[in-house]
Formats: sequence, structure tokens, C-alpha cells
Amino acid sequence: MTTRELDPFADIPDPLRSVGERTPPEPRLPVEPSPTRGERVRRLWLAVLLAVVWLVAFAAVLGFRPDVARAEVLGQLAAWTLALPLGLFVALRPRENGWPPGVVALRVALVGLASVFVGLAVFPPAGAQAPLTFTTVRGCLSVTFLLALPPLVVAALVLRGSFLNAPALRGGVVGAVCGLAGAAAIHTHCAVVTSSHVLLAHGLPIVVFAAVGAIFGLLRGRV
Amino acid sequence: MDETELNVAMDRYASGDASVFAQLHRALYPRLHAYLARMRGSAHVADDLVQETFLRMHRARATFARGASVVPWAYTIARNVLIDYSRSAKTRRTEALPEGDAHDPIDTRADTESSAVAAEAARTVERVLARLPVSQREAFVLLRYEALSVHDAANVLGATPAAVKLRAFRAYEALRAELAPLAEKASIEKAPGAAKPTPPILRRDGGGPSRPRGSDDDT
Repeated sequence: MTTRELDPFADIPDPLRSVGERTPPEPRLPVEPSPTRGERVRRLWLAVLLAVVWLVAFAAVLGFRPDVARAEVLGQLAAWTLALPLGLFVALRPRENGWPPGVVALRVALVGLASVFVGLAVFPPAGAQAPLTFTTVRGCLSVTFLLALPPLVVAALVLRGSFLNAPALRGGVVGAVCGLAGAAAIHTHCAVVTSSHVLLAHGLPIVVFAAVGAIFGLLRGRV
Repeated sequence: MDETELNVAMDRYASGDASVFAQLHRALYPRLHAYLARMRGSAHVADDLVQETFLRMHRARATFARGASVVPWAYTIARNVLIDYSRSAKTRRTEALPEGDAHDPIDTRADTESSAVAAEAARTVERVLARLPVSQREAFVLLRYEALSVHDAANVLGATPAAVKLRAFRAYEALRAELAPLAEKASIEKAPGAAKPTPPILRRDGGGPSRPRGSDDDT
């Protein structure tokens, strides 16, 4: 034992002591291919690149809002865009000891992603106002889902079976990142600054995709 | 193969060197098999689960981070296999075996060398472990029998070191309470020169922990 306080454990006999002495069978390398570390890193970067290209291209096709170059709008977009790699960093990058970030870090990441979006949406810059109706929401909401869905699918393909622990939380963070990416992309097009519109029409996908990511993580994400 | 060599081998395997798989398998198989057998109470089930564990290690080798330690990593994957097996076991039809046959028999060589009390103690431990909450059983097995450090066990279980110690101590108290009556009638003595010493029951003078496979100096 590594700590003296656990010394009393030695009193308890081992009922299956003989099992540990079983001779291992002849090792057979699994025939199915599996990516190496280098291949995985390339796939991850490719996934990020595809997601960025998709978001930028779609946003360009939609057209940018006339005030996109305003400092307040750029500030919102910059903050949300910076939160994306931070969220992925927390969810995926191993710590110095090789272990993935723990549950506390993942919860902080989830709350942080939601907070940075809500915080900036609640204090909008001056701009176009729109009442909160089904008509004013459905267009942005559907486009935001459309923007965020391909990145989520690509993330699911690349990350399945790669979460060592906390798969639901880790999947939730990845899902929230995809949702926030969609929200930031639609915000480059939609000039409506009404908080309720931004929170619901642009922000709801963050919540939905976080839930989808969590479910996927739980079902398919664990190693 | 010491842990540093194991970690280097796993690092090479993660980078694509398939030639080290046999070394990893030989080094990790006994430990993972013993862990799975203790958690499920069956060596036969452990046979299947350990194969699944190595398959998942192969599939997830790319996720093994540089500088990581392969032993707790492998135990975490084995634990994930256990979780999935337990979940599917709830929907799997099973037939209850008669009392006493539910688990694989304890080593008969040990039975001939140790007293009936020691054998009963081992069965009591097995029974109590099976009754414990999974979290306590996991913590106790990893610390007592798998000889993981508290820090490594905490990483495997996704808990804090304090929580792991607390769970393990609760398991220890439950086991100790069940073994106390047996300790009163225990008359186990270590035979000088015996190849396989008798395991102690609540003896404080040297019941050593399980060591990584290959060590025979448990008392």
C-alpha cells in the first residue's frame, strides 16, 4: 500500500487469489484496424477545419449583417469564437499526467459556454429590434440548427469511443461547442439584437446540442 | 516488465507499433483478469470481459496520451467494460445457481493447506464484496487487491482521492464486521518454508497486500 492509513486493508484475505495466477492465453493482435495517435490528431484537425469551412461558407452565402464590423458586434463574435476552442480544449485535451480533464472542469466548461453566450446576449448593442414571435424566430432557429448540425455529426464520427471517463459530460461540452458555433455563425447574418430573439433563436441550439452530445457520449462515446 | 517499460510499450503501440502488443498483453492480462473476476465474482465471465477490454484498448490506443500511465488507463477501460456488461446483464436472462456454486471454486491447493476457517473467511469476503455498493467494492478492490495507489484509483473511478479512501474504508468496515466472528476461532499459523502461506484473518502482524502478478511473498 502506498499510504499507511490503508495498512489495515491487508487484514482482509483475497478470496480469488488463485485467479490472478491464471496463465494468459497466447496474445492475438486484433485484426480490425484502429487509428494511431498521429492519425487521430489529423482526423481531429480535419474535423475542425471542415466545421470552420462549413460555418464560414454558409454564413457568407447567407450574407453578413450590415453592422458586422461594429466594435460591439465584433466583440460578441470574438468572445463566442474564442470560447469554442477553449471548450474543446477542456473536453478533449489531456492534462500533464495524461488523464482527461475531470468532472469539475467539464461542468465549468459547460457553464462557461452558456454564460458567455447568455451574458453577451442579455446586454446587446444598439440595433434592430424584433418582437418574439414564431415568425421572427423560426427562420433563425432553423438556420442555426442547420449550421451547427454538420459539425456535430463530424464530431460524433471522430470522437466515438474515445472518452475515457465522464462520457455524457464530455459529449455535452462538445455538443455545446457545436451549438455555440452555429449561434456565432447566425449572428454574423442576423442583425436583430433583441435579447429574447438572440437567446431563443440563436441560443436554443446550444442547449439542444449539448443534450444531444451528452446522449451520444453516454451511448457511444465511452472507450 | 516494470511500469516504465509498460508505459513506453503502450506509447509505441499508440503510435502504430503492433509488435509490442504481445508484451502488453502478457503484462496486463493477469491483473485485468483478476480485477474483472473479483468484481464479477466469476473467472469465466472475466475471460470474456478481459478479451473485450483488450479489444477496446486496441480501438482506443490513439487516445492514450503521451506521459500517461498504462495501468490505470487499462483498468479504466476494464471498468467501462464492466459497466456496459452490468447494464446489459439487467436485460439478459440469467438463471440463479444454487448457493455455493455461484462463483468459481477457490484454489483447492489453498484449501488443503489452510484451515476450514480460512476458506470460510475467503467465502465470507466474496459474499460481502458482492453485497457492497458498487462504488465501495470498486474502491476496495482497486486499493486492496489491485495495489493501485489512491491517486490512480481516483483517476480510474473518476472520483477524488478522499472519496475513494472513504468508500474503501466503508467496505473495509463491512468486511471486518463480517469476519470478526471468524477471527475468534481462527487458528491459522504460517508453516515455515511453505510455498503458499496461509492468508491471515484480521491479523495485524503482516497480512500483506496483493502485489502485481509474480510476487509470492504475500502473507
